[in-house]
Formats: sequence, structure tokens, C-alpha cells
Amino acid sequence: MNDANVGVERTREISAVLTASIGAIVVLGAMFDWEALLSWVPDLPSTKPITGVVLLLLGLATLLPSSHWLGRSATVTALVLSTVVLGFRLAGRPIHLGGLDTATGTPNGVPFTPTAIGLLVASGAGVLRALGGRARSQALALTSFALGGFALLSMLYGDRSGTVLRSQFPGTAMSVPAAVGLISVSIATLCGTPGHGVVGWFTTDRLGVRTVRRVLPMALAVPLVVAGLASWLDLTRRLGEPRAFAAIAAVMTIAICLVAVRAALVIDQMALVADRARQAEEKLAVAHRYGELARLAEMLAGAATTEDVLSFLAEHVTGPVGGTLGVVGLIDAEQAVLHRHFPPNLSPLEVALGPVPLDQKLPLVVSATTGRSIIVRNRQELVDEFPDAVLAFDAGGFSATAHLPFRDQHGNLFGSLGLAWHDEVVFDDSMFGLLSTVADLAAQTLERAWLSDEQNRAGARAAALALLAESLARSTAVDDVVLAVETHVPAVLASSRARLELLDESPEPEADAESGESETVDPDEIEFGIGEEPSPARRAQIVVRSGEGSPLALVCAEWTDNLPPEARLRSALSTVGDVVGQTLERVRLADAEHRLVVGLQRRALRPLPTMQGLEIAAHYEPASLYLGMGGDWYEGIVQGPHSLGLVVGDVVGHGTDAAIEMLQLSSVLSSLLALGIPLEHLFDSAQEAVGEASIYATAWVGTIDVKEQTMYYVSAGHPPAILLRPGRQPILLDGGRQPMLGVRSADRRSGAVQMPAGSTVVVYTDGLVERRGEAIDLGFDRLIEQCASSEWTSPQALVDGLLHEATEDRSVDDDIAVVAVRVAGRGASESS
Amino acid sequence: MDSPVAISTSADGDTEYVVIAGEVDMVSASVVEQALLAAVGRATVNLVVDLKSVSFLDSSGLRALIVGREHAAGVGVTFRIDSPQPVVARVLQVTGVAESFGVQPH
Repeated sequence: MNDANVGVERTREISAVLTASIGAIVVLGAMFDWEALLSWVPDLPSTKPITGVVLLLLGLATLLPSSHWLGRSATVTALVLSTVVLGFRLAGRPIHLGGLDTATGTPNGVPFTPTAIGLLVASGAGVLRALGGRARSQALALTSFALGGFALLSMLYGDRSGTVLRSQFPGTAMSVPAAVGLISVSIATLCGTPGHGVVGWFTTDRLGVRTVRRVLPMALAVPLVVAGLASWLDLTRRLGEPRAFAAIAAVMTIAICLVAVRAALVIDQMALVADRARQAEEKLAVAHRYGELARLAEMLAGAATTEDVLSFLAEHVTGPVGGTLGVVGLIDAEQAVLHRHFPPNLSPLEVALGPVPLDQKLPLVVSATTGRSIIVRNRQELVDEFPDAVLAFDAGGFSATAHLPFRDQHGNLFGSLGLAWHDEVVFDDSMFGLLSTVADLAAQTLERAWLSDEQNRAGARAAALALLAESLARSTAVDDVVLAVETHVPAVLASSRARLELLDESPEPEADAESGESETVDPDEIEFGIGEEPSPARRAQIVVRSGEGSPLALVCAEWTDNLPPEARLRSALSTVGDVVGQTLERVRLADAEHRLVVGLQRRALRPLPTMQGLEIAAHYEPASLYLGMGGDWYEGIVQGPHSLGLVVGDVVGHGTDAAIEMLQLSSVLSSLLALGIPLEHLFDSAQEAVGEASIYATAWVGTIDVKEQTMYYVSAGHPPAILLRPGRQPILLDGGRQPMLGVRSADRRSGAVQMPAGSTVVVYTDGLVERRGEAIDLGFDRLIEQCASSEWTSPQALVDGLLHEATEDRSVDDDIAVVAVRVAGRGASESS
Repeated sequence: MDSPVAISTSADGDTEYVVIAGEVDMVSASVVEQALLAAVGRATVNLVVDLKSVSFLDSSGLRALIVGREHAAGVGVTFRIDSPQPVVARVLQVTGVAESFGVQPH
């Protein structure tokens, strides 16, 4: 309720009390004949008590609300009374309830007709007010006001009994209490009549009305003051009646002219001031709004993530439109809800702030789902269309709300903006323009931030998946796979944890069926569930299978907060399941092969025999990368009491096949050597022995005769052995060369070399000398140099030294076998 | 474990050419072997394997060449290695197969 309305209320109350007081005084004065009252209140003796009763009734009635039963009955009673009195009066039978004037014998007071008519009209106005007839009630109230006012004026302008006017307008005589009471009850009735009408006209803020309100009291006061002065100075007696009247009329005319001029000036000036003020206000308001809009746009431009944008929007979106509260709603189609984002530190609205279903009839939801812009101008509109929203509206103490949809660049709806005002809002064109600008700005920013977030997230997921794949590709053992899953899968699935549970190699089908019953297993074999206390996290797991379909393991992931969208999660889980499955299968096969190869290798690499007069050392170093393993071997065969056969070979290839071929070839060569086949025919015979299954290999075979101090040897494409003799440079033994095994050839050469006491022969496989990107001769030279320069005291030390040199600063991708045999005798000390 | 090897083939009259470039090792040997066998299938009289762009050849690569040559011999196609780099030629010599591929000793 504004101030004008409060003023109207007060006026009604005061006027009603005044009316009732006058009525009471008249009635009491008539009843008790109070001397004090009689002298104090003018005209009291001439006022009829019935007038007092009617005034009292009307005063009380207007004091009460128009709907009050007591007021209504008082008004009706007043109406009946005044009708009856007037009826008697018109019938020529005045009711002399006030008694007769003792001096004249005439009834007390002035003739009652005007008073009775005025009271009747006032009562009628009261009745209509009670019945809700606004316009007619006000018309009647104005009439009674005019009657009373005229009566009062006629008295003031004439003598105390109003002879001047009364002579012109007979029948207007009224006593002062009756006239004042009539005026005040009319005012009370006017002010007690709801609605705009006359009162509304007085209470509006329009410029003209404001001016009239200011000038009207002067316009009323001037005649009253003039009349009062004239009466006080007794002008009629001094100047004579017509001249006094003319003088009063002249003064009044001048005064009223002055008032009118003053009024015109006031109106002009006020109009000007008001106009300027209004323009300035509008400009300020527009400037302020656009300033706020620019600030909002600037802040939004700086917000990088959706979270940032949402928090900025909720807090600052109200700035440009002067609202009290801003809410941003975003559609979550998957869960069929609208997520609402409120400003921080929102005072409790006594309303849940969580997501709301998309079918709930809230203006924010309806706007987001239908694309309608919804303006709620007052509470009644909300009650009519959105009863569900009334609670929040009332709790927030709002007077109006607006809801605008968000559309993306394709025109798809994705949310809405809600704004609420405490103060009254004018929804004019400028406001609509501003609202739609703000909503568009918010929608664009949200879409941009969302897209960029999504891009970042997709990029991060792809990067995480690449890391996982790389880490899995490097895995060579099951433990590596377990570690890779724990390290990289959480980033891929956006989960808080992930682990790999290995299943038994032969799971029992019954167990599978049981778990299938208790949980819902979909075709992708992805299970969702909630963990048990004390860690009730959300979980998902997928069965990892081998290419043949046997289950190998479970990838289990846990989320402490929300799961990602299910479709994306499923595809990510399924991808993870695939790559982990392939890796596990590869690693397990490789593991099995590795064990097999190691076993075969161990069988091939038996300890070399010992022989009187020879010092023998050997070492086999598997490739540091598993891939290259298998294929190198050495063997020693005692051919006689003084003769040692030595084989060092390298089968081409790797893995199980190579290991098997190696075993086959080594046993063939050993057997042939033990049988005493001449060395130059050894490889021929071996090729025949292995038959059609070509084995590609290089091999070096030598026979050391301790007694003769001679070594005979052949090489099938094998790197040349090195001979170290005391006091001489090491040499490569390049005799006895035949092509590698697997290649038919007519070469039947063999080599022979003297091995005096202290001589050492070093036989090795290509892993010791071969380096990528380097001619093999460099490797031979390096080896010779190492043999010549290194400090060694025994064949074992030499072997160790060579291996150390070869493997020290690189990872070797091939096996290395080295055998060193020294002919005992003249000390080793000389050999260096 | 990248072992890039590039293989291209062409034919000129009754000679089929296979040009190998890169490193022929454990990883790439199987690719080379298949390419050689395919070329043997196409060749009518001569097969020339150009190794001038091969910088490394290990025993697996050697085996691929030997297998290719044996298949060629089986269908009566001559198999020759052309212009190997010294590094590769030396490997062929050390393993005693250079002559059988028509590579002259230095």
C-alpha cells in the first residue's frame, strides 16, 4: 500500500469520527441541554436531534469497513430515518423532536428540508458503498458533499442564518453541525469507497492531479477566508448589503485569479521539472542497465568453464534488469530433469533447490521445455497458471518474475533463465528487449563454455586412452597390465579408482550362471551397481575376454560422485575391455612361451665338461628384450681322453620354434661329433639329419687336441673365433669357412691352428659383436682390442669382461653366448 | 620397436625387381619374406633384390633372403642380390652365403 492510499484511509477514519462526534454532540446537547456545549457549538440549539442520530449512525457506519454488518445496518437505519423525516417534512408535518422555540413559538432550528435531503443522499451513498456500487456511491456522496458545502457557504456569506444566499436559493438553510456533519460523512464515504474513481484520481501521481491537489486547498480556503473576514467585520451592516456583496465578490474574483495564475505557473514549472526529472531518470536507468549488461558480458567472456559461467550468471544476471534473484536452469535430458543454479549465499527460500522433473509445471521448466517466454506480472497470474510455483513466489516475497528459454545455435532448447523482482517492474518494450538480450547472451556463453568443456573433456579422454594403450603395448607381464589398468583406466572412465581382477584360467560355468542371476548382465557384460558399506561408491565392471571368448579378468571401476553419461561410459568400458583383453591374451601367451623357451634353453645349455689341461669358461646372456630370446647355444663333447669337441651355434629366429630347432640341431651336431664324423663333413651330415625341415643357423665347431696342442675347426657362416696366443696379437680364425646351415654348398673346408700352452680360443655368437648401424668388422676389431688389452687371469674373467663391455651401455636385443678355452701350461700371466 | 622397412616392386621384361629399403630385422623380416615369395610367384626368369637402401640386415633378414632364393630355385628363377651396402655385404660374407646370392667379395 502506498502513501496516497494510507492518506485516503486516514481521511476516511478522521471524517467518520468527526461525523460521529458531531452527531453525538447534537444528540447529547438535545438530551442534556448542556450550557457549555450550547455556547461553544454554533447553531446547536437549532439542529434537530434526529439529524444528530442520523449523523451518528452514518459516522459509525463509514468508520467500519463497507462489508461490516454493523456498518451496513447503521447505514440502512440512517437511510430509513432520513426518508421518514423527509416524508413527513414534504407532507407539511415537520417533526419537532427538538422542541419549540419558547420565544417565538416556532419549531427550533432552521427548516429541516435541506438537511433531510442531504442526509438522505448521504445515507444512499453509504448504502451503495456497502453494496459495492462504486460510481453511484461516489456520485451521491459528492452530491451530499455539495449540499452541505453550499449550506455552509451560504451561512458564511450571509449572516449567521445565511440570509444573503438563502434569499437567492431558498431551501438551502441548514444548521452548522448538520452542514459540517454532512460534509464530513460525504468525505468519509468517498474515501471508504474502494477503487479508483474520484479517490483514485486524488491519489494518482499524475502531474495535473498533483497540481490540482496543491491548488485546491487554496481555492477552497480563499472563499472561506474572504467570507469569514466579511462576516467578522460585519461588512453587510457597515457597507450595506449590496455593496458588501459586490466588495466580497470583487475580492474573491481577484483572489481566485491570483490562485489560478499561481496554479498555472505551478503546473508549468512542475511539468517542466517533472519532465526533466523523468528524462534524466530514464537516461540514468538505461545507462545503468546497459552498463550492467556490458559488465555482465565482460565477466561472461572471461568465464572459461561451464561452472564459472553458471556461477557468474546466477550471481550477476539480475544486474542489467534490476531483478532481485536470478536462476539458471539447464535441461538434463538423460535424467529428464532441469538442474537449477542459484546464486551463492541464497537466503533460504524454504523451497528445495535441487533438480526438478521436466514435467513439473513451474514457469522455469515450462519455458525451458516449450521455448515460451513467460512473464508473471503479479501473484494472481501465477496462481492462475502455475499454482506449483506460488510457494516459492511467496517465500521470496516477489512481485513479478520472468522466464526466458535458452536455445543453442541449432535452435534446440537447452535451458532457461529465471528472474524475479521484489519491486514493481514495468514490462515495456525496453525491458523486453533487455530481457531477451540478457537471455541470448547467457545462452551463447553457456553454449560456448559447454562446447569448450566438452572438447577439453573429450581431448583428455582420448589422451588418457592413448596413454593406456601405450602402457599396455609396453606390458610384457600380467603385473604390468594390472599396473597399467590401475594407473590409466581411471582417467579414461573419469572414475576415482579402477582395478583388474584376474579370473582363474578355467572358471567354473556354474559360478558364472549364479552371478548372472543375481546381477543384471547386459550383452556387453557391463554391470552397474552400488558398493557395499563402508564404501558405497557407484561401481561398474566389464568382463575381459580372450579372442576365443573365455573370460580372463574383470575391469572394475568405482566412482565416488556421479557416473558419466551411461552411453559414453559403456563405450569407454567396452574399449577398455577390448584393449585389456588383447593385451592380457598376448602377455599370457608370451608368458607361457617365455617359460617354455627358458626351459628349452636351460636343457640346451648344459655345463661344459672338464678336461685335464684345459680351462673352460662359458656364459649365456639372454636378450634384455624378451622378443629376441632363444636360439644361441654352446656345448662341449669329450671325444677322447685328450680331445674336446666344442660347439657354439645360433639358430635364426626366436621364440619356441627357434628353441626347438636349436635343441634339435645341437643334439644332431653333438651326436655327429661324438660319432667322429670328420669336421669338414659335419654340416653336410647335419643337414641330412634334419632332413626337409630346413633349419637356418650359424655354427662353429672345433676339436681341441690337448696332446697335439692343435685345434681343428669349421664355421657355418658363424662369426670367426679369436685365438689369443702368448706374446702375440690376437687373430681372427677365418679358416674352415662354409655357408650357414640351411644353405646347400659344395664347400668342404676346415681349418687347423696350433694352440701352444697358454693359448686361448674365444668362440661367441653375433650378439657379442653386432651393433645396429655399424659394420660387423668394427665389432670384430673392438673384440680383438678388448681381448688384447683387458686384464684377465682366467678364461672366466675374460668371458665376464667381454660380456660386461658388450652389455654395459645398451640394451641388447639379441642373445649372447661366449665360450673361452685355454690350454693350460705356460702360465696365464704371460698371456696378457 | 619400430623397424621401418619399405618394399617396392617393378618388372622390366623378364626381370622382376624388388627394392627393399630400411632395416631388415626380426620385426620386419617376415614382411620382407612375404614380399620376396610373392615376387618369386610373379617372376618368370630373373628376380633381382635391390638392397642398396638396406642399412641393417640381421640373421632373420638373411633367412628371409635364403628362403626366397630356395623358392626361386624351386621354380627355376634365378635369384640375385643387387648392390648391397658394405655393412650388409659383409654379413653375407661372414655367414658364407654371399657367393650363392651372386654378391662378389670385395
